[in-house]
Amino acid sequence: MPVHLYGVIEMGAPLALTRGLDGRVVRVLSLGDRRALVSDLDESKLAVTPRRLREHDAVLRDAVAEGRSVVPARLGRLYADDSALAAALEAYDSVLDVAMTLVRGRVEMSLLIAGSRSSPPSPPPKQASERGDGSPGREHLRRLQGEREGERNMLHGATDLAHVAARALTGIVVAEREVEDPAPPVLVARAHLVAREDISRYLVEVEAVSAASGSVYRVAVRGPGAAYSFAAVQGG
Amino acid sequence: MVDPIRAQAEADLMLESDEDEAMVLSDLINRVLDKGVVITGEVTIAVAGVDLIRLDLRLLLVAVERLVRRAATTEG
Repeated sequence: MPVHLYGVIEMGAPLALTRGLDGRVVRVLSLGDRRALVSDLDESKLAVTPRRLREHDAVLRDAVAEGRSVVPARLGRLYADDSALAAALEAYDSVLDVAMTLVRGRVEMSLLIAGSRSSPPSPPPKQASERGDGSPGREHLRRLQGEREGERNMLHGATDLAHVAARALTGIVVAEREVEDPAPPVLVARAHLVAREDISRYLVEVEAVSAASGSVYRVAVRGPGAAYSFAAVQGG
Repeated sequence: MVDPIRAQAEADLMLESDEDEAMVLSDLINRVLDKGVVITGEVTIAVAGVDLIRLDLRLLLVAVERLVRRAATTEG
């Protein structure tokens, strides 16, 4: 039966029983001094759904919350069976060593910036009398142009805000990654690798940036979670 | 000593309303699916407790992967 890999943790105290994709029990597969978190799957190809994204992430967030260092796998890393998974990970033993070193005692925080509901609307199109041109086609194009300009301004402002946050987080964030073209409604997203003991400081700084940003943007944080952006399982 | 569960709850308080549901999904898509990210930082780590080194994260993983492949080829 195909198995789905959630991530790899170091040997340690047993994890609390948890459930993963489709409510399946998450098993702990022993791989030398590491443990792989896996569950069985009925399908050999995985359809990605919002529910499965949440289920996958929840398994790793639970492990992180239990204080474990996690080298995560992204959703959809499937293997024919336990043996195939063990062989694949064994081939990447050295990579996993480095990845584990990277995440030990660290977590990933997501900084998310979106427009707030009170964001200023795009400038209304000028009246025909103001333009001296009543053509519906031109009016439509001007409206589109105004909307695009508004979107560009929002994006630039969000990027500036991310830079302000980055400066405020200097000394707290170990590393930062910029997410390319984040899914809407997020305008700008940054993944931050943070030491566990610095999580509270991180939140305080982000809240200060958020408060100073006014009502145009919504600044939020998700985390602590597994470090997908820095040390996801390679190969296999 | 920070309680990670408390910290997680604090963080998630910032994303608990219905209107934030789309932001959570966006984050899941961005991170849990491999959409690609651009490195803008470096990290200092200790490898095998021997040395502190400062490396580009992406180069680090790629370099180690290449070494593993080279070792496998040599052994083969």
